[in-house]
Amino acid sequence: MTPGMPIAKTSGTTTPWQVMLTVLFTAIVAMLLTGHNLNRIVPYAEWAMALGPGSGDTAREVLFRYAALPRIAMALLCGAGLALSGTIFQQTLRNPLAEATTLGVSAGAQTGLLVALLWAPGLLAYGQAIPALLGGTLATIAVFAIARGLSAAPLTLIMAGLIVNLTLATLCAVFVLFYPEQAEDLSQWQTGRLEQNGWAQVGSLAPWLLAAFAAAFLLFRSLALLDIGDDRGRALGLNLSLVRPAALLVSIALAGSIVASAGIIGFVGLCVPAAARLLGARRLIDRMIWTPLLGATLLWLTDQLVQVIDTGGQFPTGIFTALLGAPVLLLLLPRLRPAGPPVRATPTHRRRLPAPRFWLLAALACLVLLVMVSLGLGRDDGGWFWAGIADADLVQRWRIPRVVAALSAGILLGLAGTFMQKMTGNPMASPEVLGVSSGAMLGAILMVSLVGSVTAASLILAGTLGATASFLLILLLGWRSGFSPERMILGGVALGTIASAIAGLMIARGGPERGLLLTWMSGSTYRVTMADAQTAAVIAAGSVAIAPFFARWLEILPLGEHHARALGIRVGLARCAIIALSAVMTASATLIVGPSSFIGLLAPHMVRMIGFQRPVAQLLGAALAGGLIMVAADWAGRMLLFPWQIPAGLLATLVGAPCFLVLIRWNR
Amino acid sequence: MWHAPPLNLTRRQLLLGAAAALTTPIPAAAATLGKAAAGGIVAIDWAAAETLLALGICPIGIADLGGFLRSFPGTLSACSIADLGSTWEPNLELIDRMGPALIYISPWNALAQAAVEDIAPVRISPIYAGKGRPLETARSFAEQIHSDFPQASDPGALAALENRHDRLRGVCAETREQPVLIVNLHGSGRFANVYGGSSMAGNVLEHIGMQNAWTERTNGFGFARIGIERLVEIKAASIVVIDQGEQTARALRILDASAIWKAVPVVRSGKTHLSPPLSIFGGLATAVNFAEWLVGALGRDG
Repeated sequence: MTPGMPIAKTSGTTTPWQVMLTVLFTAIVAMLLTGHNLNRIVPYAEWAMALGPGSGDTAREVLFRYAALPRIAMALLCGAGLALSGTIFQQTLRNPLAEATTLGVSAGAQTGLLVALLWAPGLLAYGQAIPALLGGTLATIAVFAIARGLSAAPLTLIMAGLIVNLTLATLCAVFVLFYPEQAEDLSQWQTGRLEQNGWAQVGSLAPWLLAAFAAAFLLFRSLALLDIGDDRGRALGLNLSLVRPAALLVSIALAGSIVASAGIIGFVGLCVPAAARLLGARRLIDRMIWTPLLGATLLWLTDQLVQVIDTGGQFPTGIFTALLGAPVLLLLLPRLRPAGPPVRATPTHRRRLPAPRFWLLAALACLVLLVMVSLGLGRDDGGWFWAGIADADLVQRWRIPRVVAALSAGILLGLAGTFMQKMTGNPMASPEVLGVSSGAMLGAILMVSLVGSVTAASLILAGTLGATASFLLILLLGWRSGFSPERMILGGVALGTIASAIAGLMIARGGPERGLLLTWMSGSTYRVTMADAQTAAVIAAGSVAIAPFFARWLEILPLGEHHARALGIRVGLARCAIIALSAVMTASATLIVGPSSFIGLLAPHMVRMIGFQRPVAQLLGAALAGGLIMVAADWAGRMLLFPWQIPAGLLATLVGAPCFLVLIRWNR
Repeated sequence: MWHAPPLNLTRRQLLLGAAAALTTPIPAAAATLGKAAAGGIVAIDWAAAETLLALGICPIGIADLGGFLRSFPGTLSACSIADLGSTWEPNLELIDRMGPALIYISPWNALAQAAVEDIAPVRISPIYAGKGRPLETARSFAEQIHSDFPQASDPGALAALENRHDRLRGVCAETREQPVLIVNLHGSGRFANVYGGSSMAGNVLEHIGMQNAWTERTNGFGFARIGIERLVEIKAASIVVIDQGEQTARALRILDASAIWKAVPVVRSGKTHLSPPLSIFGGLATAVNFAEWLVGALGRDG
């Protein structure tokens, strides 16, 4: 059941008994656990005294009043806030997957807080909510700009959110690495922790929650009208251009202030509204009342459970919700049918280049020139210089592997992106949505946390194993649904969210593992050896050679499953082959430039907008464009802050994303 | 070109090195250095850099030089040192151009080890490699450096440092204000890192004969991240707050208004001590300075 369903079908239910009973049951269990936990601080018999007016003298009474009780209040506030924020997001965007973490709001808030801490620490003295709100808003704007407007189809928006999330995670990793002496403070928002030392946090969060509830109920009539569709809503006097931004701002403010006071608590905003819907809260009024209540009691229960299990108090509650929520999300997947009409792959514009062959050759010439510059032109203490004969050895050892690796990764991601976009018929599909990069990341994390110290070779092995495992999982998931693109993308998003939550735990815990993980996540060509570069080059060359054989499938699949069958295509087989090839290409690229890469999205788009429409031309064009961008980013990353280096993947994203947006505007 | 037996340079490496010395131009940074013999040491690891400087040896380059000088405010020296880029991705081409004879890396640089070994022999700075005895390791590491570079290092420096170290052994055993809890406050005022027995700070406590109040689980560096409210229950007679500059100042400002902080028994009895600014990941010099300050601050209580 989705918020996009017409009212007529959902108004059958009257009182949502199931959800009421669940809330009650959760609250009772939470209360029992709370009693158990509080009893350890102050025995039952003395509670009345501890709460009384004259108390607060003994240390235990202080703990009771100023740590245990505000922690419960904080759990209730955060749970209710996240659930309400998720409900409003989902209603406003008519998207069952929209919430603070999937839309990049939480990551944006976190980035805003890191930026404030590093460059304007004075700002934090006025309250942490402001930088969090700014960051969250900017991230949301970026997601919508990438997904082109508020009415984007649900999956498109989620994919844009995934890309923004990955980029911000990389950016935060680089902040922590660039300022190692402030690493402790920088990682405090990485995972959600509810420990309190007084009522101050509760006091500053409660007004936000109250204001958000008030605003949500003021907007209630307009939000309810969204159920009947934009056109009919407009006919009834709904001002969409006002209601949507206002409602979004309310949800962003809620999520942002929660990140500022407790850190990122994943999955609550996604799972609780879904659970409430499944438990019978279907009408908007029911969802707006019962979802926050369910969120509050569930987070309260979870937080008390954490305290029972981990009496040492070292395990963040946010990780626990993610670990609990991830399987729930996977279970919910089959029930979550995204609303909205399918998106056509090819926009209406008919620009087509007259002579693609000429332009491809021109791009190839540019690439050769760029490769020569990036190999030859360098910097040292004195300034810029061209490498001479004497430098041949240095160039061969330090520049060639990186340039070759960047080139290969760019080509691979360009090809994989084109494959994914053509196959899913969705212009926002990028190789990351396969979940292969997340699988590689999980493999690497597992390796680092089990072994402690690792070598480059063992990390690549672990990454490959993780990527293979996630690829098999995706194939299994796809097999049952005939490789339906939607199911694949949802699985990829779920995997990505789990991976980033676990990575967050590792980063927040500190210890030797943090540096290892962060360097790998930052995604540069730094550690590439000549052997790695050669392997990548061989895979890239092989992929370029194979790709044209997929041309017919790629031409026909975007027309839709029905047409494809009519034209004699075995759709399942075609999709399976395309996914397999894309997964191999993405995995090899990920192992070189890390899990964040905008290139797989950007390169295919660029060449299509320039006018390469036919599959073969677009494939070759995207490969060339991906190579050009990555080589340029790698070179610029080595030169800009010399002797410091900016990871190529990050630089490509930071420069590529605005270019992408300009390109979209220019193309309209 | 410097070379010494303990490094086990093979003949092939020496020949390659000589060939490289002939073909590559002499780097400007190395040429300006007086002591050509020790001129070729590069420190990507900060604890190694501190130890080198403490022994009077000038490294030609240190990774993240700005961050190093901020974290080790006492180590300013007359050496001319080049910045090598970040500690996690030092600029390998630049290092190669400098033609170092030896490179110190951190255990967490292990991913780049193979590449760095292409430039020059590599030593992994052992202090925080997870053996759990940072102070002992820091001492033997300093001795190792001294014996690797007998001419380059200041002859009295190591002996003086070790003397100070040895004189501190067990001097606080009789002090009444035990056990001691060593904390590093997070800027938010809600969390703190507490240092267990396998951390450098914990080792220092043990060395001067004091008990550590934190005996629970820690991470690979020997510390645990806990909520401030847990300080209330920890049985400690005094708390040492490690000064991390602005972050610590911010935390203390927030905590001054916190009921929990005021309820911590040690805070109530005024037995909290703010250390001088010092790095968490320092070498022998940092450890000895910290130990001497601890004896001065806590010994007086007894």
